[in-house]
Amino acid sequence: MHILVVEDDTVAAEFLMKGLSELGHVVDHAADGLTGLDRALDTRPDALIVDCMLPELDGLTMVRQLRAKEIDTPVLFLSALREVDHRVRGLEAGGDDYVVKPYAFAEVRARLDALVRRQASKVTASTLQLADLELDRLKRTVARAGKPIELQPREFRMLEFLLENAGQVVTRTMLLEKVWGYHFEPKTRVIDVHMSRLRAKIDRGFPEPLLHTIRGAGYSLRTSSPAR
Amino acid sequence: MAGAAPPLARFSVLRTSAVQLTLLYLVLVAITGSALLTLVHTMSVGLLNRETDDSIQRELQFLSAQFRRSGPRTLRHLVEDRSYGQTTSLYLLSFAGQPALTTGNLDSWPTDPTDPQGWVNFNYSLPERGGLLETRAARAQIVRLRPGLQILVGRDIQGLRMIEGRFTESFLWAGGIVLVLGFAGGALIARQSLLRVNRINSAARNVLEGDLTQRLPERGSGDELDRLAGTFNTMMERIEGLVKNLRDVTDNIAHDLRTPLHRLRSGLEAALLDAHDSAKQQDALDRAIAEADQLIETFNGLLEIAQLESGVKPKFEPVDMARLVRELVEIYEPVADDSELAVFVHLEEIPCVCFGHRTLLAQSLANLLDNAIKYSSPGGSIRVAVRATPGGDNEFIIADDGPGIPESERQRVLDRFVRLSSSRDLPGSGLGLSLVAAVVRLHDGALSLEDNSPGLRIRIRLPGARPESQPARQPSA
Repeated sequence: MHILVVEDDTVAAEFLMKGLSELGHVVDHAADGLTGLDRALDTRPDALIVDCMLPELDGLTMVRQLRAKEIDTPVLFLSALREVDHRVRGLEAGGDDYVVKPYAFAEVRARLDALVRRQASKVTASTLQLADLELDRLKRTVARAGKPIELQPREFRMLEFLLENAGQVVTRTMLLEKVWGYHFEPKTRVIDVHMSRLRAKIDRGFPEPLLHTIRGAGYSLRTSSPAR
Repeated sequence: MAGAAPPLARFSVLRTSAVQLTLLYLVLVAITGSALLTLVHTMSVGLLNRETDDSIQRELQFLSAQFRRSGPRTLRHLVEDRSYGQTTSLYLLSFAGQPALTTGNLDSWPTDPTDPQGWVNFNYSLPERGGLLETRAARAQIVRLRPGLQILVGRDIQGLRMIEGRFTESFLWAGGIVLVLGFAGGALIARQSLLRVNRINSAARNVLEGDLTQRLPERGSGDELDRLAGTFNTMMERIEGLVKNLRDVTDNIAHDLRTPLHRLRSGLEAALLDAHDSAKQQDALDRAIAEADQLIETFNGLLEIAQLESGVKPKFEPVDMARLVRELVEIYEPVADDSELAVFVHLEEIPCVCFGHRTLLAQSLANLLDNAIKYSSPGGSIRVAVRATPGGDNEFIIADDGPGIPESERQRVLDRFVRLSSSRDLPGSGLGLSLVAAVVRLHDGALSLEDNSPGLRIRIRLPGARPESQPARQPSA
């Protein structure tokens, strides 16, 4: 995947580029908003990571101009500003998601994956499947190896989100956002407790565990053979 | 921070608005006064003068008519009769070349210039009882009846002159008094307000020099300067609060961030030393990241509180408190369950809508639930309730049966970083409650910590949404 990082802090940019290249992405870098806009228009990357505060042209304006040219490449905003309404402004400018600095690389990676995946599969399948685990969105049923599993509505939504991002890492913040719709940093424990309950329902009694805790990052629903 | 303060402008009394206003006021008073007095003058003295002239004219008309009808002899008799014993009317009739025929009670023709109609103002002498001559003012008209025959009819106007003199005197006195009093009053007012303005000025200068405890006396009179003093005091309270906050934050950062930073640094150093043992190194790096995360959390919390207290309001929307509580309890219930705590929720059937920031409110409730779970012992219970108060506010109550907070410490725990000594070993930044307090303040609400005997009860009162966005309330079952 070709990713353009628009970030004026060279250390932060190098860190991102190193991490992303190690994941096998082709990473390009621009240090200011104008260069970023040009590069994005020239090279048409698959995704953009844009710092909100940039020299020449700020990130929000840059993305707004990009969107005005009807380019809907997924954009992940980075911002050192933790203002309460800043996320909303980023999303209004045409960003798809928002990460506050300082961030864990895992957070950026997980959100980027989710964005690109969402972009790639806009059609939502009515059933989601991983190995022998099946989720039917219409009937709102879950079954593993043919055995039905009873889930609470929130658990269902959690599993749905994990399945939508199967093979990818989802962070605790993302879970709180997507499952409950709250935008704040959850205390680690809270999401973990919910996850351990979900794990008890879908993995207990089955030989192959599907829900994995990724240390320092979050959770991943995947078959045991490591994805990456 | 305080640069070179501009030199205190020397107050010229003339430049102050109080004095300028006083002068303007004086001028107005002078103009109105003059106009009034002029009117009174015209109405009184002027009327008397005209009256005098009229009577002189009438008498002259009568005498000249008599002359035309009956000749100079009759006229001479008439004048002689009228002059006799008279004190206020003056007559003089003379025939050219016949001085013996001259008659009247005036000794000689006035030498003062006459106007074209023959009017003349002059002085004449009147013998007083003591034999002295008294000079009196008179006004007369001189008419030539035929060549060589001239008649003067006049009036003694000494009385009128005296009235006029009195009038002018009163006029001057009154004017003088108005001016003197006006000036004195103006100067007094100017001095008073100057004193107060100067007091405000010097208080502001003391603030510039760093004394933030400066306050101005408020007299409670509600005038402009009093209100200015009130505004100044409110402003100073706010500034003092902000500066104290800033100082506290700086102190706290020094105290509470230095320790984890030190641990982070030592951890990384240890990782370097453990270069030969990759498992140990991995472990040390993981711990370092955890320390860094904790630091970031604390830092973010601090920034968030600082931002909430900066006075800039984020976008508010109607938030259903009951729903918010239901959702957050749902998130936290499994956690409480794991700690063997029971959570009881009491919500009213009707929506309890307040106008606020959903995320901030959610985060506050999350912090409170987190605290309640953290400080309760297994087997305990947590009670959460939301209700609409009769006054239209929404009240949120969370109560636990944990150790509670001693009354003396209740105010202090709302400050940043305060963690009671008994809870030092529990994880957390010590910012949870201060964030809640800041959010409640942002929403113009009230927060109180109460004794749940045993345990802690936190009561938060948030103003209800404005009536138009609030559904009609019915008494709940």
